[in-house]
Amino acid sequence: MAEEHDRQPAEQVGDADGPSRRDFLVGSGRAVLCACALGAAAGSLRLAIPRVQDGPPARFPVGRPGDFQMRTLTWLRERDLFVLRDEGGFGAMSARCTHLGCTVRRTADGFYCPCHGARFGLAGELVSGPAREPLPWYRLSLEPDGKLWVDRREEVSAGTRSLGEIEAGEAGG
Amino acid sequence: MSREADEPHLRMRRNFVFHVHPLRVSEHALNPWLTLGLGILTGVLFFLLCASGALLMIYYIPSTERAYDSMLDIQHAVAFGPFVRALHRWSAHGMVACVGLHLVRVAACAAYRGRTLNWFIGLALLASTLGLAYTGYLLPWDQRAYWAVTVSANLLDHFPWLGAPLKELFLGGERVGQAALIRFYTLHVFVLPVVLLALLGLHLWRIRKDGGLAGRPADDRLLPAWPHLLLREAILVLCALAVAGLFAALVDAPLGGRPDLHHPSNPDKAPWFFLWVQEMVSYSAPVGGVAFPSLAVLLLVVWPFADRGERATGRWLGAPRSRWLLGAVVLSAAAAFASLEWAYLAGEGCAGSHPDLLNPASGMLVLAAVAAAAAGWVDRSRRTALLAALGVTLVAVVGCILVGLCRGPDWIFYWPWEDWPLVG
Repeated sequence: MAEEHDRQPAEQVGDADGPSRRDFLVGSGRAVLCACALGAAAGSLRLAIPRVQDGPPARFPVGRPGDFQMRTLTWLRERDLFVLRDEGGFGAMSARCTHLGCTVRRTADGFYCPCHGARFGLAGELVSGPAREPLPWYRLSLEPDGKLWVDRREEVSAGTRSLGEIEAGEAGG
Repeated sequence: MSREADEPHLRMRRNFVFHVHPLRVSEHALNPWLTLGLGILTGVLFFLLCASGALLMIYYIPSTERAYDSMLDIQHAVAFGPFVRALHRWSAHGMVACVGLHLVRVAACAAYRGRTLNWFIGLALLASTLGLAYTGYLLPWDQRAYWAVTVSANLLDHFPWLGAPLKELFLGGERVGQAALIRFYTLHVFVLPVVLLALLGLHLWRIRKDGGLAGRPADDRLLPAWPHLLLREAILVLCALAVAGLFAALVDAPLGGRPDLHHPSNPDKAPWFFLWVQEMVSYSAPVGGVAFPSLAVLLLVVWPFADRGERATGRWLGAPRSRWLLGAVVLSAAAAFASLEWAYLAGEGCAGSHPDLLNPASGMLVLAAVAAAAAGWVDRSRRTALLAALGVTLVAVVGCILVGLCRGPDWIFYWPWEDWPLVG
């Protein structure tokens, strides 16, 4: 009863066909509440996505050319990277399995991943198992500081060697 | 008023217990084979998890540098530390099992009929439980924890367009590190328990609003909840506490070595309730890690809408004819899984031309669809079709857990009686 009594004046003020003032105010109130809740949710979500990430840089030095012996494959443990040196020059290949990111291990005829049994050949090509991509190779360059630098953002085709002109005996710049 | 004086148990009217239970319960609800007490067991284990978790929080430090050391403290220097940690670990495993079985029970008894909202609250509770189990798995910061979470987070890369932002949100970076540890910790000790508790309240409230256990017969007698129901529940709760305590006292919770962030163990296995995903992703990440779980979730989401025809509820698997049919479906699914797995393991090394299509997980997906169509057609029942699909899915999950348990170094299959070779 009380509610009907309250509604009377509001309906008289409003347009006969359109919404009453009460309906309008209640509706806008709900809309504002929803907008605030959505805004707070979006803000909270945005806060959780970091602006700055810690972690190893994508571009890093791996050592002087002389640190790598001729015809060797060096596992740079902290970088999850293999550096290969032969007559053709230097090559850098990822040690992270392309299936789900475990570190692959060296075997006699290539590499295998202990997590789900993916197998790769000597140049990181697919042999068997669940991986669908070969191990990526990265650009390797000799910088003015005399060190070889690897850039994980720049992939090169498998088996790419660079800096073949560096002599085997040259002991690191 | 005089009645309350006559029957002392009615003085408990204002008690919490009688907010959850009615004063009088149907005789039908007293049958322990109807529910197997799985909901109550889940609640007991959740209580144990909160209590033991709060105690562990006193010593645990969520920092990549100190987390593992604090685990060693709990294991070796804290009074009752190993017991409380084991209680927490095994209660978590038990809770995942009870929630899963509870879901199967509700599906098999069609107890969701007319209770669609509570079915979805239940699914959200299952998701929260799995989220708690998953986030808790990282916290010890041992070798297993680090690599299990690394691998599963990388699974998100295979989800179309939502995967990468979600991974960034959960890990706070590209790889599992300090940012991920503190996020998992916050979710594990605050966000998810609060969500779970709120959902649990809703879940219990809806059961009462919907009239207690589903499927009450029309001619059923009403009995006082005390002692008929409450005594049975009290016995179940005490037994559950005793079993959990005894188990935790006898079986230590494993703690791996200090994590080596550049060298996974061989093999490195997830806990059993995620092991089926790990086994399936070893066939194919898009099928085992994305398609199969997504379709399983889809089945559960459409379930209460798809089953619109039959009214019967609150009885295991309905008519005898449906039971025989579903039994046959499950048995043939088990046989099919064994054959698929045998063919796959025998053919390993010579990868087929379509490894994402030709593997046991994809095979079981197809079989689930075929079994649902066939069983639904034979029984003229959508409910039987849904149950057949669920049956095949469960066979695949349990089968993959069993095969996963048999995986040795290099993810090679070894029978339980075979010795693993020594590997570096």
